Amino acid sequence: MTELTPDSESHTVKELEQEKIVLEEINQFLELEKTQNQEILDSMSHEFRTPLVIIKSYIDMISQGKFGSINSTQREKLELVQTNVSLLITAILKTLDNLENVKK
Amino acid sequence: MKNFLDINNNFISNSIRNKILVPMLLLSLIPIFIFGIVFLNNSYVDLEEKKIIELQNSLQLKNDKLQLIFELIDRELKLIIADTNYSNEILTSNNNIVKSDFESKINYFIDAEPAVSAVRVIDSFGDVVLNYEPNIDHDSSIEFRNFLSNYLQTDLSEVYYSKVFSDIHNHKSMFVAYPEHKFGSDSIVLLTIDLDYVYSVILDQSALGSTGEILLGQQVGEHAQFIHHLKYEPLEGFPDEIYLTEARALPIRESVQGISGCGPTIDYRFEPILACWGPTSFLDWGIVAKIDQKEVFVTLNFNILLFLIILFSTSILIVIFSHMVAKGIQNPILELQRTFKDFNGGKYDSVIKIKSHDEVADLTKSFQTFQEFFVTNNKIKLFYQKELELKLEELKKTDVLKDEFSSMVTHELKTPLTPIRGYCEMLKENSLGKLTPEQLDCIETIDVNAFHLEQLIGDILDAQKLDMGHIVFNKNKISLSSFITELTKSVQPLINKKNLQFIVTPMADCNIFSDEQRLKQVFYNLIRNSVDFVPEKTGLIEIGFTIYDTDVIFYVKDNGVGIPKDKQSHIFKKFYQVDTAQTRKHGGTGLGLVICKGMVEGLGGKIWFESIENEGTTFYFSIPMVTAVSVEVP
Repeated sequence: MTELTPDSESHTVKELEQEKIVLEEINQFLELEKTQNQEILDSMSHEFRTPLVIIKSYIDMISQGKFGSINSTQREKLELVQTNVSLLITAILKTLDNLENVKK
Repeated sequence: MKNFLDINNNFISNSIRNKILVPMLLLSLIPIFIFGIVFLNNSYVDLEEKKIIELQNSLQLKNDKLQLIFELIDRELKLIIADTNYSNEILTSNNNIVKSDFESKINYFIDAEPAVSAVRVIDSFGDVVLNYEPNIDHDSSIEFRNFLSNYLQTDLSEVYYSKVFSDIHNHKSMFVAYPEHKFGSDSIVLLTIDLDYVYSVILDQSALGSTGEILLGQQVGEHAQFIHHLKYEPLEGFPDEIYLTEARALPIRESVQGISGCGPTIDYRFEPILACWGPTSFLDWGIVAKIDQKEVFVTLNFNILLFLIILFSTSILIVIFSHMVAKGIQNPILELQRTFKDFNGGKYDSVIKIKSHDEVADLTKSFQTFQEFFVTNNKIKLFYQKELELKLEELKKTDVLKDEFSSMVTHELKTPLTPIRGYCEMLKENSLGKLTPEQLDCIETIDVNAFHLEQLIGDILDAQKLDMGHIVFNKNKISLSSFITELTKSVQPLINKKNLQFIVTPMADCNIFSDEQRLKQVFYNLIRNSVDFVPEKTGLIEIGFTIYDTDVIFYVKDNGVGIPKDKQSHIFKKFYQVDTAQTRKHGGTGLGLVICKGMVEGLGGKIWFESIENEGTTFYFSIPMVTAVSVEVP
């Protein structure tokens, strides 16, 4: 934004008042965008969480042997999957947190 | 003087000064002018009247003197004749005695009376009986002969005065004849009068100044003849007589015709004069007293000069006065103007000292109020501006963070997904050991969800890029028929999965210039969307394109559930899903249509749809066949 220099143009009181109104409108618009962004953020976190929860719970269940026994190789892979899921969850939470901070 | 010039350069002061100057000049100079004219006119009339009275007096005086001289001569002559005791017989018989007695008396008379230059006694035959003529011999003169012949034809009973003539010595003379029977029947005594002398006697012209004179004239036929006209000596080229009809003869004509008058007129020289004229009281002469107007009105010239000096000095005084008044008004205005200039130049704090209590002071006060108001408002504005700048900075920061987020999502979120899906694949293939059907089912679910996450992350990235305007379109020539064929191949797995019917409306081939990859993505997203919403087995998806003007309009038609009317306006919003529960089942990310819209608009087209609930939805999107960029790209 350019700095307001008094000699750039002659300011009348009317212009000043109009500018004030414009500024207030911009402010309102920004506020609205902020709330919309918040909504989007909420949906996003929801979108991320749902599949993660499903993945996490299913892997836990298989690991616990609820659907039958598993051999050591399979368990090893499952544990790797679990680790990566944990990583993913941490990353997503971090991302969402970051985003939330930005919005604030 | 310098100050005066400075002000002259200034438009405001000039106009103010002129506004004061013009009415003041008019107000003061018009009365002065009128008064001056009246005054000059009055003094003119006064001078004229005064001079005419003087002239009339002078005229009267001359007339009286003239009459007196002639009466004196008349009386004396009559006395001499009465005193002389003789008869015709005496005259003839004893000529010498009588003659000597009469002669001595006449000689005495001539000596005593210089106006009489000769005395003659003439008998009825025209012979000169006695001739007393000390200086001049008139017998030979033409005038005398003429007179004598004229006289002899008339019977004279009273005194007769002849016309004036010039004698041989160029003297103005006239004859006066007295009938006297003492010298025989019809004999006369004839006097010759020297008019030059008469004129010199009546000449007292103190009232006539240096250019005035008294004119004596008589009428001779068609002419007015001047008897005497000059004050002191004859003038070269002076007319002895002038025609009566001439304009310059007016005073002399009227006087010889017996009319009196006075006033301004012209004389024989055609000079403007003031004159009084009238007939003489006993001869048939006219007399005119006149003076040049130049001399009469010489005092008037001084008055005119005085008047002009007053007019001029008054004008100068008014100019100076109005200049001073204008200065008094203009100085505070100039100061105010300077302050305005300062104000425009950004100096808001310049203060004017208000010295007076007039309108300019009011204006200055108003300006100061405005100045204060402006400064306050400016402060408020600056405050708002700073606030806005802060917000802008915050937004920029958000942008940067969003960028960071994008890369983070790519690296941090995509990285763990790859091993998850890889291991799931390995587990599914039973290469690590046989799995129970339940376990397989679980792994399948995990894989599907991981795939969904992958899609979601991809979509978020795309949406983010579209938001930021970071998507770069690589436009190339696309053959639509081969493009559709390829597209059909890539969506075939989706179609087969739900066992749907897929129709491609046949169209003539057409080349467009656009981004094939993005176009494919749009189509894919739309088809995937449709696949999600059509029923298994009976589902029908139809794609195709038509050419409209310079655009190609693509469409994807399905016989799915449709979009409820109240939800139609929201479907291009991020993460908006018509029915969350159903979507879960379908596995959409809520970003597909947002991305489609972004892409289509990025390619210069539009996207829209028609939908009837429970019957189906048709999405349309237009893509320009040749974009403006195509000219530059080979």
